[in-house]
Amino acid sequence: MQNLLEIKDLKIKTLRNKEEVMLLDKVSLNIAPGQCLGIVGESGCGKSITANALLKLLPYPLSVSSGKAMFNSPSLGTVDLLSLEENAMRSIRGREIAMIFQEPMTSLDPIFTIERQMKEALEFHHAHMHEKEKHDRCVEVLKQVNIPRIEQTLGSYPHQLSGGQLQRIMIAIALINTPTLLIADEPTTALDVTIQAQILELMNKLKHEQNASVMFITHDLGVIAETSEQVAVFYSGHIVEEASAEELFYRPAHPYTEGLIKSISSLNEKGNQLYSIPGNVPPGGELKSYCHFLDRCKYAEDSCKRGLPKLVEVAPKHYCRCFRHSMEVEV
Amino acid sequence: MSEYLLTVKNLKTYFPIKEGLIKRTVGYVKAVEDVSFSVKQKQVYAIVGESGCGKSTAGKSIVRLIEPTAGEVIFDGKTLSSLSDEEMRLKRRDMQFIFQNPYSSLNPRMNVYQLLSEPLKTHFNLTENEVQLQILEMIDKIGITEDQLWRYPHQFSGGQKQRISIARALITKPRFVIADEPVSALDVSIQAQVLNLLINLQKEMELAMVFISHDLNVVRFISSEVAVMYLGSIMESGSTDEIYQKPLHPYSKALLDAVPNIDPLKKKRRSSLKGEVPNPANPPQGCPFSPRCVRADDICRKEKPTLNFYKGRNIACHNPLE
Repeated sequence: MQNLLEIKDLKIKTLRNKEEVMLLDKVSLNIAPGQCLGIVGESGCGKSITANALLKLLPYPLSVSSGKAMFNSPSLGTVDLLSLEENAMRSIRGREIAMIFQEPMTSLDPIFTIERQMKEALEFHHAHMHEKEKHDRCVEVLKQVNIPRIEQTLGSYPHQLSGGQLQRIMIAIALINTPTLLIADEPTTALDVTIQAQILELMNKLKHEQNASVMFITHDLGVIAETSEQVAVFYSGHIVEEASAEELFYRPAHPYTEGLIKSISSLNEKGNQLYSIPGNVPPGGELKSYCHFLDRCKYAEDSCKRGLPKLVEVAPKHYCRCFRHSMEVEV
Repeated sequence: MSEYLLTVKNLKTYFPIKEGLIKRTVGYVKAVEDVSFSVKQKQVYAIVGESGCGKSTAGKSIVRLIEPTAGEVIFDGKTLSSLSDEEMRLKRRDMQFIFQNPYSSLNPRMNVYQLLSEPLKTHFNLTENEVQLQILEMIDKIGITEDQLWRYPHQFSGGQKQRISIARALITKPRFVIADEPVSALDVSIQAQVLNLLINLQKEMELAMVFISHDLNVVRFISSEVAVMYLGSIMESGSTDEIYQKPLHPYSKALLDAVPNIDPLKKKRRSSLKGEVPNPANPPQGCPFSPRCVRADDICRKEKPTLNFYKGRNIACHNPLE
């Protein structure tokens, strides 16, 4: 397998009033070694559950109903993450695939010191590591993420540190076992712009140093533009467009992507009105039989109701799910 | 009448830090250290800064939702701090507040009709019929239909809720409104809708507005003048266009540089700011920005610069950029 990760036709469902509701459908994504894949979308579009499904972290009643996620594991060979036994998953989770969560303030345990929490990640995968070795490894990764006063930080509790520092520590914990794939779920959303700039710079630096692949989930197109080579746009449980960052920002093919980019760039122009996409973000779990963006689309026609458009290649390596580009219907 | 509807002079808001058994005051968090600015009629004035810089506290102190420690707020020729509670209550008809998070600022037990009629009944002596008429007029502007009037906040989306809280603030026909991060809790595609609504209403009702935000793009679009705050003090203030084109304060420049660019070909790596915002309970000596500033020298670390007029704007810096 050439890619590090290949997700094929991922489908996630949940239970609502004892009825099965589909939250995510027909999601296929590839991540090449050393590549950063950006996933962008608004709340409820399914971007976070995709990441959680990969590590078997979906909370009840959510579950994967079908699909495959082939991962090129350094220790186990090519495995399907979705059908992996819990034991095998444990050896991958946190070691080969690590995750950085959105809110550093709530993801760290308030009653343990930073050192204790960092060592936990090490001990889990390296049971016989010497105490001194563990300490040195903690110091080493904290240096990588530019934490000042390392010894003092190791002895602190989360409430004694700022949000920016905590997010660095979260990144340090994710890196401590040198993973091959890093999943970052809105890692800078809770942070200020100047701190966000520091964290993004740090992540770009680490990606080059460690040659790790990154799956970067965010709602901020600006952040995507600065970090990702490849971008997938999610809307209401589907991928509506996928392309390289350059292609996507210069030649958006889907009306939703186009609208998002326009509404951001119209902020830079003095004018009377901002460009806005009408309507509301659909709540999760309402997979319709036709194009999900139809109600908000300015190009919508009656014929758009004939079915769900297929994700087709509209330009080399540029995929889009819209009838304006192809008449093909998803079966 | 003066040109300015609102003038804020040397506003200070300190929060005491209490410790020990008898809750002795051991120090102060200087949330707002020294803020002065003026807002003209019909003008949108923005306050921008990172979290913890005191922008929200400044906003709340202006309308006395938090009592300021010192300083003067003159609204429409009257000094607000000298007003009694009752006089202040009457003044609030003219000055309203839009809160950040519509999920928590609307009472979940009241339906839209009750939410919108409450400010009218508090401030005016109206018959039920007149209240109804005004509500119908208002919901028409914000795109809520008549049959939605009997619904409760949880039945609306985030964008609709924020429209309702905007309507609630504007239904008393104020002349001045403070909007504290009105769109930051909303999805990207919804932000533009709500901003358009706010701007249209501001123009239509000839409102003066203080727009508090951390989003530099939104501030650029919406305001004609801006104040950049850092650790309780204004660092630079003046025309939005001028400051965005050529910031003179090193902090304004760093802040503007930090905004992610949506053009992937301009993956420029900027002079990113080192370190973090200091603790306002224990601010650095001299200029609050000096520990992170590349241009800082000895005076910066000793003496706090005051806000002075310089090259067409106000700036608090010993070593402004050229």
